[in-house]
Amino acid sequence: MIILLMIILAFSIGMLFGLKKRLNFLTRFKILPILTCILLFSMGTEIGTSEEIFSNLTGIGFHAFLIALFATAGSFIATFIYTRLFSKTEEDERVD
Amino acid sequence: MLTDILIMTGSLTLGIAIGRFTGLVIPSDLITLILMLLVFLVGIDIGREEGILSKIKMNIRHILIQSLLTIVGTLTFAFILSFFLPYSPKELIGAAAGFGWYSLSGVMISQLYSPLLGTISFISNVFRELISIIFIPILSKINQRAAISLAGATSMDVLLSLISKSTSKKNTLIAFGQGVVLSLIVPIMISIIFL
Repeated sequence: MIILLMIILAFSIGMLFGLKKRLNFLTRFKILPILTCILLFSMGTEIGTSEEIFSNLTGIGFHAFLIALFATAGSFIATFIYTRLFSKTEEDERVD
Repeated sequence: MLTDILIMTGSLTLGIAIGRFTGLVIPSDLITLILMLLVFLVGIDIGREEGILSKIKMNIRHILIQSLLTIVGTLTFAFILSFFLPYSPKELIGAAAGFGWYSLSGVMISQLYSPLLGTISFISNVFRELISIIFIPILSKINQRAAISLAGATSMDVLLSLISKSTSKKNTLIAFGQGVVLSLIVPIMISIIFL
């Protein structure tokens, strides 16, 4: 619960700063990609130190692939059905 | 885009190797702090976009519907998958709730639930991005909005240039909006699912 509030707060304050064009320099130094790399590194250490995960990486990878496949298929199908049913004009947006 | 993926995969691999051979574990408080900083910076990044509020306001209905469809489609199919895989619906829905934002979803789920599911979520969201890179140009010839939904939260940054090449101007804007909405929803949804 606390983490949820902290996230909403962090995001809102960030967006407010962005709207006021303050702290823009922060995005110029590629801090975002560096933070992402640190997070991925820490994620890696967790995988590396856990025998349960490390010894099952191929199985885990396969399951993860299925999740991604289902998630993207679901998104596509849901949006496809909706646009076919409810928005004829939006289909005119097609460039081809 | 590919260099980014290589660098990120490199960081992950390095982490796995160092964790494997030295047993190094990063303190979870530090990770939480970095996560907050990440969300904060993403907030700045969205806010500083020129005329962002009016752009979003103009298409708000389309953006919200588009985001909702992406969420409903993703989570429904993750639920269906739980009948075939040895995970509970909650676990699969949670793993899929990263909507392509792999760095955040993976780490958050590791922190809040289990490192195993965090890893699964991480890898599956990397796959989601790769599937999007490959299929958005192809699927947008059939239905642009449906193709955009593949990208999930990444339609705002990583995949935006690809989307703008494959879809109309208006749909690119909707794609950007979908990315904004989902980027906000991912951390909220994951913390609610694994509360």
